[in-house]
Amino acid sequence: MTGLLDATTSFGSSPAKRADWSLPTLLAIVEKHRVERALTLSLRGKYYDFASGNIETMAACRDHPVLSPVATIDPRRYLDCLETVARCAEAGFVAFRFFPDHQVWPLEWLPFLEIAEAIARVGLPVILPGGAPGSITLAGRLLAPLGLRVLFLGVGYANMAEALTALKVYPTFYFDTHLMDTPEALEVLCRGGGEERVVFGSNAPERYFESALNMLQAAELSADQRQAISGGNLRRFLGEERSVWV
Amino acid sequence: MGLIDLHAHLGCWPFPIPGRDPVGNLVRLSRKYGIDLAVVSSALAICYDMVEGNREVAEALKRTHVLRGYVYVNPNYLAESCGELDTYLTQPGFVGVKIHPAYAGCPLGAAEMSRLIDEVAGRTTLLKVHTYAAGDAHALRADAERHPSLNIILAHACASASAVAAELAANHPNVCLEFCCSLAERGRVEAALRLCGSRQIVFGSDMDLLDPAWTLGMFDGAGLSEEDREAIMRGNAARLLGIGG
Repeated sequence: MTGLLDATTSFGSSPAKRADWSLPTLLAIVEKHRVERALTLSLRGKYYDFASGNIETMAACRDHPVLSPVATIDPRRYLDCLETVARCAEAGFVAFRFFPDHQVWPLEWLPFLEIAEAIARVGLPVILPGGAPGSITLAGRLLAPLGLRVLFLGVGYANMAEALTALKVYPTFYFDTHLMDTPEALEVLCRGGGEERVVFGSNAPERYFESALNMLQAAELSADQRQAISGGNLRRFLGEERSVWV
Repeated sequence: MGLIDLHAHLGCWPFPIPGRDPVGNLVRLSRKYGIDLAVVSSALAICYDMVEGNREVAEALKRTHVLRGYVYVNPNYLAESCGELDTYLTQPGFVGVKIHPAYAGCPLGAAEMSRLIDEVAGRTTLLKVHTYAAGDAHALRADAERHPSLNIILAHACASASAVAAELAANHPNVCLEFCCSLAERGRVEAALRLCGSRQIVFGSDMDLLDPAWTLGMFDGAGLSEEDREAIMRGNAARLLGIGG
């Protein structure tokens, strides 16, 4: 499949388990599947220090144009967080990704909400985990009023109902496919209004790229829907393209 | 030759999965992915009522040649479980037994579970057990050693602890691994192949909770040789079921 954009990749070390999540491995996967562009970030920013992680992310993306840089901020740090928003926007990061589940902080947390407001002011989108029931509902209450575009990662069967409902309620919410493993998952989402807000994501190299790819290839979609999920919707999430559906 | 799927379910799910005809769903998915045979256990039996669920499987087996059945048994109902085994394992189409420790609220290694597995081993040679953690593999070691002629399939291969499951398989020829799982953690299949070889890995999809495309993608990503693919997708299952490969 050519022209495929991947919303969900990362690179770095795996502290809790022996695994190869290195940049060369990510690049090999991207090349093997002819991915045109992959949003990515260094896991250093998730597990250790977002400032040096963001530097590493940007360096990798400068060296490898197939990668687009996603910044991360750990609100627990507080110091320099707001400055980081402005700095990353100027540097060319395309989105901000957060890890409240791993870093154990609540979404309705003042330090995060202050950062979210700053991100809204610079006009970049936000990426959040969406697999836990209630997470999308809460984000809707907190972030939709800010006008933020939000991409939720990791919606699976346990939280598909919440995603389908959110598609009706929050027009700036998007969903990646990297855990959508049930029969007709993509078809159901498209019928539920997701044809313009579902984006392909693999979570490579942590997860098998081919599982998410097989689901996309096996889905019974129109050519327009397939093209949108494969790339057009992600471009629009990033603010690079207007909707073809209106 | 088509695939043999050793992990499928008959029943409904509380998730937005289209279709209210479970047999129809399974037949449609089997056709779509080239699955010749799918062995099902009852979701109703696992989640709610063992007897009613097994009865549904028996009825489903009469509707299509694609399906075979596992008898579901529950350690909380030992006498009734033995009755289910005696009723169904003699019927055509039932090929083995399924146990789900999590839904039964009874961990592997518990005395009640061991007694149930002893009863199973006296009546069949194929047992599929839901496993989702390293402790499941550790606990099954004693069962595998106590019953060397009982082939035990570790469904989900202990999820992220699949290396532990593979070590168990490497030391026990009657243990097989099956990898369907939302957690498509890259490298799981390759690590198991290194530890226990392809002869002790079988294909299971978890349909129609999961789409077979998902787990097939894990094997695609593992870069199997043709020989390994044939063994995993069909040959090993055929051997366990006692049918032609």
